[in-house]
Order: sequence, then structure tokens, then C-alpha cells
Amino acid sequence: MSQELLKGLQDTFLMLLGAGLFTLILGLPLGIILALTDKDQLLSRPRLYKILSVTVNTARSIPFIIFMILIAPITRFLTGTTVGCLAAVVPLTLACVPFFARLCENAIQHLPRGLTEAAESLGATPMQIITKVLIPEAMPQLINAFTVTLVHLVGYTAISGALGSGGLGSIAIHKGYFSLKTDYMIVSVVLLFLIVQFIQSCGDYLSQLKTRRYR
Amino acid sequence: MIVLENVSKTFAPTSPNGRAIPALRNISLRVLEGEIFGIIGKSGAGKSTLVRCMNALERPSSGKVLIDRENVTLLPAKLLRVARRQIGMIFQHFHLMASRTVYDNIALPLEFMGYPKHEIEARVIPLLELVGLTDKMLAYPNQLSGGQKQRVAIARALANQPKVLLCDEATSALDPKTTHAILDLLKHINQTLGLTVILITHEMDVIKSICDRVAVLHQGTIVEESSVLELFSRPQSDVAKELIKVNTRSEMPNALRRKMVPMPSEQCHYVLRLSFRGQAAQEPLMARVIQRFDLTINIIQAHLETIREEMIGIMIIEMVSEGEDTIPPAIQFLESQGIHIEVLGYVPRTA
Repeated sequence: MSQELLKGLQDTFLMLLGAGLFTLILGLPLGIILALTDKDQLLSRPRLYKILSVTVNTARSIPFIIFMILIAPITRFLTGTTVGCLAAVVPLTLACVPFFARLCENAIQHLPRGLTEAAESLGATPMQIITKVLIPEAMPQLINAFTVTLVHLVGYTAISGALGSGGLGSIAIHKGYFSLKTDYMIVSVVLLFLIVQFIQSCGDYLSQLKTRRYR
Repeated sequence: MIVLENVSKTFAPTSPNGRAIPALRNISLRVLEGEIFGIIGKSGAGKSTLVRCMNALERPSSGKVLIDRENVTLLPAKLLRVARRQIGMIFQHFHLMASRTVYDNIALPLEFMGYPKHEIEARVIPLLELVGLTDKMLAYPNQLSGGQKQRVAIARALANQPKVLLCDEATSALDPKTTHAILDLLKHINQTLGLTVILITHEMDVIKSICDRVAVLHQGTIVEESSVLELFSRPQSDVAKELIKVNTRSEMPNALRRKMVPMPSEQCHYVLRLSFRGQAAQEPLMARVIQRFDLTINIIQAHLETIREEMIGIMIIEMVSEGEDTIPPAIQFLESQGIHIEVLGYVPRTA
């Protein structure tokens, strides 16, 4: 039992790490683009905003388990397979990016508009405004957004276990539920719980580390 | 230094069926190098839009904005950023970065320019001294008072060594004492650095304390433009009169106001507003008028005010002629002595 659980734990971590990393890399820029292309914003492009916004909404409105099946061809194209934890990183990432991007958009848009204007009046380029003003000012909220996304991601890895990704969710479903081994079920659920607690605590700590100094 | 030619700004309607909102109409203005120029108006008059046109945070719908002979309305983004370094700006709500210390907030524009660390330090330290916050340089904005925050914003705006400083309601969020400290600082900067300062405000007190000249903005047009002294002693527009009245409390008692009529009648009393400045304020003119024209004068209100080291007296009087109607020649006489007179109304004899 411990062997299997260890493997499951490892797979879950791999999925979290891979999908988490890609979500960060893709979701943050998308969120910033969403925040700044909306009308009356710094780089206002209402049509682009509309297209991105509808795309993000569409992706978010499809239940994850169906989303995973729908994008299977993309997964196969990118990884050569649709089973295993590596393949699962693709749908996990694509499902989390729109979610994380929306949270980032929110965090950036809630900054006072005057900050951008002050930076503009000081002669900043749009890129400088993003990297030197918006991201540092929104950092605590961005960390919170990423924490929420990671917790979400833990749930998604468990769902993806139903479709052959491996990981703790897979153990809970296949061993615990279908094979009626309650002990497997309990241990894997407790492990998932601990992972979520760990992520949330780390996120809270980091975001407070940032704000404690100046709030 | 700053020239505005026929600047208009119309905001697009907020809803598809809404009407376009004209914020500025045909504004022409000339601000000289090194002066402190005030723009006053009530809220919604278009003051902020006007000042934001000056550094192209807002692009005018038509007209030209020339800063140091350069038309900023036509500049492409890259050149506009260069031009903006000539134009510092401070805001009502400061807009400092909460995540940066005082030092780092002031360093921000220099980081935008890509200056190396030691050069940034060489510029920030004297600025901290200038605004008197050297001991607070490692504090965060949230640990500062409003006045201190505005000082940081001023230092930040000066970091690029601009020629012009735009102040958009810079003292409106501050208490009166802090307001005066900030105004003194602006005056000091204006004198030591030769900076041209544009000050937007709705408070006549601010204009009175430091401005050289002033424009009165009302519903998107400039209704009056003059020296501050001139504005106080002989305001032309209704808006200016009203703004001054609030400031100097030159109000009439209600009892008198009720008796007043707009047209003169036989042997009525005159209610006059007199304003005089400089020499005239020091001469016993009233006594002479009373003797010479055989009048009775009832002083309803009077006060003296010092604006930019010159005295201005404002008086509201009721003039009663005893015998034949000697009031119009008396008014003429006073005007010939350099007193500005405005007839506020008439009180019929029987009343």
C-alpha cells in the first residue's frame, strides 16, 4: 500500500508542479493583457478584449472532466499520449490558465487608476508600467490568486485521475471506490487535504510577507 | 512656456444613445516661464481635464497644447514620453506606490530612465532634503501623513528635473495647516528652481496665497483671466464674484437684502461694494466723500486683506444722500481715486 501511495503522491506533485508552472507562465501575461486592453485602460483594445474575454469564459464554463476529453487531440499532439501524469499537465494547464488569468485581471484592475497615470506622467513605457508599477503593487493579490488557483488545481488532478492520469485522486477513485478499499480512500483523501493546507499556508505566508511591511 | 490654442475636449457618450459631453470649449491660455498660474473653478468646470491636456494624459479633441514651443498633442508615444519628463505632475490623492519606500518612490522615474544606482542616489538624496523627508526615506507611504505623502509626490515629480509642475488639486485632501506648508514648499521650489507651476484648485485661499495670475474656469470656458490682485479687487465674472465672496465673506445681511430692489428710484439709498488696493487703502477717502458730497454712509461690512504683499480692502456700504441726489457724482469721485465700485442694489426711501 505505501508503495502505491508514494507513487500517487509523486504523480500528484509532478502534475501540480508542471501545470502550476505553465499556468503561471501563461496565465499572468494573459491576465495582464485582459486588464489593460479593457476599455479606458492603458492599452485599450476593446475588440481584442472582447475576443479574449469570450474565449476565457468559454473555457471556464466547460466542466473539467469534459474539457479533458475535448482537448485530448491537443494533448496527444503535444505529449504523444493521453494517459499518465505528464499528459495530464496539458488539460490541467489549459483549464487553470483562464481561471488564473481572470483572477490576475481582477487584481490589476483593482489598483487605483491614478497609479498608471502617475507613472505615465513620469515618462514610463507601458512595459515599465507593467513590470515596475502594476505587478509589484498587485503582488499580494497576485500571490493570493495563484494560491487559489493551485488549490483548484489539486481538485482537478483528482478528477483527471478518473481518466488515467495517476496520482492520489486516481488511487482514491480506482482503489478506494471501485475496489472498495476504504483505507486507500481515507489515506489518499487525507494526503490531498494536507497538500491543500500546505499550499494555502505557504500562499498566506508569502502574501503577508509582502504586505506586512507596508500595510 | 505653456500655450494653449483653442483647446476643446469632448468626451464620447457613455451609452450608445447618450449625448457627447463637452468638457472644454475653445480654451486659449498663455502661461509665462517661472510664474505660478492658478486655474480655479467649481467642481465639474473642467479643471482636471484642462491640466491633463497639458501633459497629454488626455488628448484634446481639437486645438494645440504647446509646452516650451513643442506641440504635445501631436507627439507619437515615444516622443511624448520624452516630453513628459519636462512636465512633472502631482495629484490630489498622491498616487504613490504602497510597495515602495519613500526613497524608492522618488527613484522610480529615474529607474524608468535607466539610470545606474549611484546616479539615482545622487539625485534622490538632495530631493529628500528639499522636501524635508530625509529622516523618512525608508518609511512606506502608509506610515506617512497626507502632507508628507504629497511631499514625496513632489520630490518624485521633480526627479526628472522638469520645467513645469502641474498640480491637480494637490492640496484638496489636506487640512488648512498642511495645505499652507505644501504651498510654501511649491513657492520655494518655484523660486529656487525657476519652475513654472500650474495649480488647479477650487479653493480661492490657495490662489490667494501663491499664484501670480489666475484663470477662472466655468463650464469648460475661461470666463476671466487676470492677476490675482486684479481678480480680488475687481472681479468681472459672476463665478469669480461668487468664489471671492465665499473666500472673503463679503455677504450682506438678509434684512438689507430683502429691502433691496434692482432699479433706482427717487431719493433711494445705494448699496455699494467698494474694493480698493495699495495707496487708496491707506487714505481717509470715506471721510472726504462724506464731507464733500454731504452724504451719510452706513458701513455694513469691511475688511482688509493682504494678497502677495499688497493690501486690498473690500467694503460693503449703504450710501444715503441727505439733500439733492449727490450719490452718482460721489461714485464718480471715488472711481477717479482708483476705487472699484459695484452697485449691488438700491433701497427705496420709504422702506
